[in-house]
Amino acid sequence: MLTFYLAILITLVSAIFLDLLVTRVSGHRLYGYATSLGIIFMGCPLAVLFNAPEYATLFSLILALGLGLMWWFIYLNVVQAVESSLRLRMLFEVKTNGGSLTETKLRDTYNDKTLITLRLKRLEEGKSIVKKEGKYYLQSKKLRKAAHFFTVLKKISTGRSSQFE
Amino acid sequence: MFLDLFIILLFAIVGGIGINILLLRALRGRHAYSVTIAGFNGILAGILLLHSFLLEDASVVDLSFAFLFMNSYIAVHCLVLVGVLNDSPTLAIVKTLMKKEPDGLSENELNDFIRSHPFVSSRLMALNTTGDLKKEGARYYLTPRSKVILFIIEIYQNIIVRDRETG
Repeated sequence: MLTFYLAILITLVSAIFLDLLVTRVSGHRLYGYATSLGIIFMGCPLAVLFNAPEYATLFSLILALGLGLMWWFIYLNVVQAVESSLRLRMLFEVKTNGGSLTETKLRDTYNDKTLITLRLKRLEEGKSIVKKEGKYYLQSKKLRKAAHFFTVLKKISTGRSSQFE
Repeated sequence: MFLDLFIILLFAIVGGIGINILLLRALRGRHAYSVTIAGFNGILAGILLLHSFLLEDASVVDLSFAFLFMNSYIAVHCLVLVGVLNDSPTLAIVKTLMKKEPDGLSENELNDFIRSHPFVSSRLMALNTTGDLKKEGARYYLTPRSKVILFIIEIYQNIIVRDRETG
């Protein structure tokens, strides 16, 4: 069974290594993610087939792939949080100021108006929203679907449609 | 062995999701993560006990794989819960724009939206609660844990050569 676990672990480590390498070389985070996902999809079943053939059955390959994909998803979320988490950015702001900061100074950089204005600007630049005659309108179908999806999940899970209700 | 594990895990995950939803609704999202961890592990333990009682005892190897797989799923489930329970500023903007269709969102309505969605305060409170920031008087301080986390993240950022966004 140890060879089974090792096969999956080696695939995961290879996927992470190639993710970082491809990202560094290409400068595009998405290329790294696509590479690592491809490695997991192909690598986990193949790694079990070649390194632990005594365990290679249909269900063991499905479970190995499932485990690999779950760990890839965990890695993706950790990495995404590192890159875009508001909480981490606030922590870095405190760190840049010597490890402590007054609430006033922290809120000068991180306040709701600045946060929302910056988000709106990025959405406009990405053509997801448009401003016409002083009003904002949604253009992106992808964001519309994502908003629906998370609202449904939130309503099913908590009975509310917003954290601030 | 793997066929049995596949069936056990399938039932445990599907059953766990159903019970998790019911518990989260009853608790209105409070204690979400501890309920998730306890719930899924509890269901798996129950199904494994039933399997041992009705069919055959599970070996240590089977049990270790089952709990590894289940707790990997729990981590995935909790990560999805983070996105479900905590409103993302971008998606909150999108939802508000959808509600204001076809008239559009005016500047006054945008200001109302900002006032009713205290993202920064909620994140600061969360950092305090999780022990990543300590507040003494009017100042915030990094804790030893957050210093370690930031150190590790800086190593990662140097590897992929990315500038950090602010704001």
